[in-house]
Amino acid sequence: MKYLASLVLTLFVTGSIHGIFTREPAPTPTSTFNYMWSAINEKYALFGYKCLNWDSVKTKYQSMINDDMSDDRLFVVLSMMLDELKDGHANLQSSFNRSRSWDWFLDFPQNYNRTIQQRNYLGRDYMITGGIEHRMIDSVGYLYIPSFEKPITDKDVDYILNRYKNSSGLIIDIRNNGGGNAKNIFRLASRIVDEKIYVYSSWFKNGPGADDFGKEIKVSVEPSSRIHYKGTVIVLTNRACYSAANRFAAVFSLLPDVIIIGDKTGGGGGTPCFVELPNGWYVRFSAMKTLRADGYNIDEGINPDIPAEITPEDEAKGIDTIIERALLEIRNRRKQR
Amino acid sequence: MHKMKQSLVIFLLFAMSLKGIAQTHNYFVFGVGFSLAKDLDRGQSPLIYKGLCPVIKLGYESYSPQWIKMLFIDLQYGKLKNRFSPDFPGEKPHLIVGRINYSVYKGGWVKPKKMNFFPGLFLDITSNMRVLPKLGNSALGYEILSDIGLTCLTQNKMKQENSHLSFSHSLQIPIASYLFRSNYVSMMNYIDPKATYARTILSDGEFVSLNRLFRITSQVSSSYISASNNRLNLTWKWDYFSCNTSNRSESMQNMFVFSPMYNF
Repeated sequence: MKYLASLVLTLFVTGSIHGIFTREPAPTPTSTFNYMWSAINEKYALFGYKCLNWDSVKTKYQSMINDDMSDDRLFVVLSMMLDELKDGHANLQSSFNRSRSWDWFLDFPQNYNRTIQQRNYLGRDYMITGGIEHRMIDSVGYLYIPSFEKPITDKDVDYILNRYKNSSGLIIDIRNNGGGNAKNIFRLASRIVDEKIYVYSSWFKNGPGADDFGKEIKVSVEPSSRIHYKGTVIVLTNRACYSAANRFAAVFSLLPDVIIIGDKTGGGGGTPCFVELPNGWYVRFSAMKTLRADGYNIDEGINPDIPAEITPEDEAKGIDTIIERALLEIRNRRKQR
Repeated sequence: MHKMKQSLVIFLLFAMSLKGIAQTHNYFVFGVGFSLAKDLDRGQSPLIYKGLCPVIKLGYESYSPQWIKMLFIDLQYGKLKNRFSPDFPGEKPHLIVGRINYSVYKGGWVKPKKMNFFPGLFLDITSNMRVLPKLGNSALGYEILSDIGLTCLTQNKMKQENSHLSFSHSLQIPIASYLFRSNYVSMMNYIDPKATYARTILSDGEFVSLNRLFRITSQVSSSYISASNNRLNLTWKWDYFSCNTSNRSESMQNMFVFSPMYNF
């Protein structure tokens, strides 16, 4: 009898708790709008830096939302609201579309021409090691890294640096690199420094308040015990360098005997988090802020040491002005030595 | 005289321990089954993910007149889905759960009856991990709980004259726990080259009690006992927890496991 009573009690408790499992919000346009606004309000890391009043953004777009609107229209309104962040890391993904804010490079000259690079600089016999396209150009090692999405291994870097160890300089071209895994930055940077160099600090958002950030994560480049490159290193950038590529430029801008040539990078210093919405769509936005060691917010983009642009005349002749400027810089430095 | 007394005490202790061993039944348990899982992590999504996960169970049980001891390892892995999953084909969300549970029940404190209640304590480490691949940097959501708590086992007499069936029910409620939970933005640390997954996960733990962690585990088992004292066990385990941290998370599992128990 006691056993039966215990069992009935358990089933009762089980059933009751089953009932109190938090309910899902209704997948209506209104609840989706409110959920997305709140998630960004509580987790977006760059409101302070961007001086954006998110409450007024809600007021602006709330009137455009009603529960009878189509998915297409809802997507447009939510995308417009997200666009107010002016953040390349802010995207809304539905099953039929992906919103994006690409003003950070569409509003500026491209300063990169893949056809010219491939036909007149990389040629037909360049190598691809760990996603890095490379060859020797006039005794200078030329490396093109189109993306940081795939991991670059120590073995890849060993191979490349062994190949160019006697070159008169190294050009690392990261133009049009939209980012990826930031750990790739350190695979390369650790082969250039002789001592530990503090490069940036990052903070995760850790609460709903605008200033709620977690503990400081201090990041340094530490010299690797593997092969190092001892010559001049030039990094080529343009406005389409974003996120991890922007971080790459921020790190390399602090390393000795490294010069950045090209255009300012696009920014994207806030590493993005993702949140799913009540209707199954999901939104991405920056949830971490990063300041370079000198206190500069890298979301602003990294300025080059030597600004350079591809001129229309050079482009018409099949010349990449930025690569040529880098080759000239290495020649000049070699002469000075 | 003193040495004789010492020898007598040692002999008595030895005899008592022999008596204990003689009346102890030890079992090795291996079980397979499935679990109906339901997970919600507000850090990642307001939507409930559900799945059917295969389960493997390994265990050891020891029954003596004084103590009942149980050690279990449950492992489960399965695909999850929510009601909008068909809209997003691609890599499927999945759930990985590992649980180690050790419970000790005090026996022999009342005269054995057909039905007995045994109070006890338990230690439990549970790792509940969800991977929602479409959420990129925030794909991994987890709760790692190290619980200590109270438990109660209700059991009929181990073996009766004319019966080869046994029923038991246990209830576990943790009173304190050390909790590792995904951070506020459910994001791993990708920007520090030294931050491994393990280091990131284990860097953010906190002590919680009933106000921030509510958990209840109920297990109903029925056993067929053979003449050689081996057993065939059918178990329904129901486990629910909710972590009321910055992003509420809840998990519920209905686990059905069939497990032979080998007496040794």
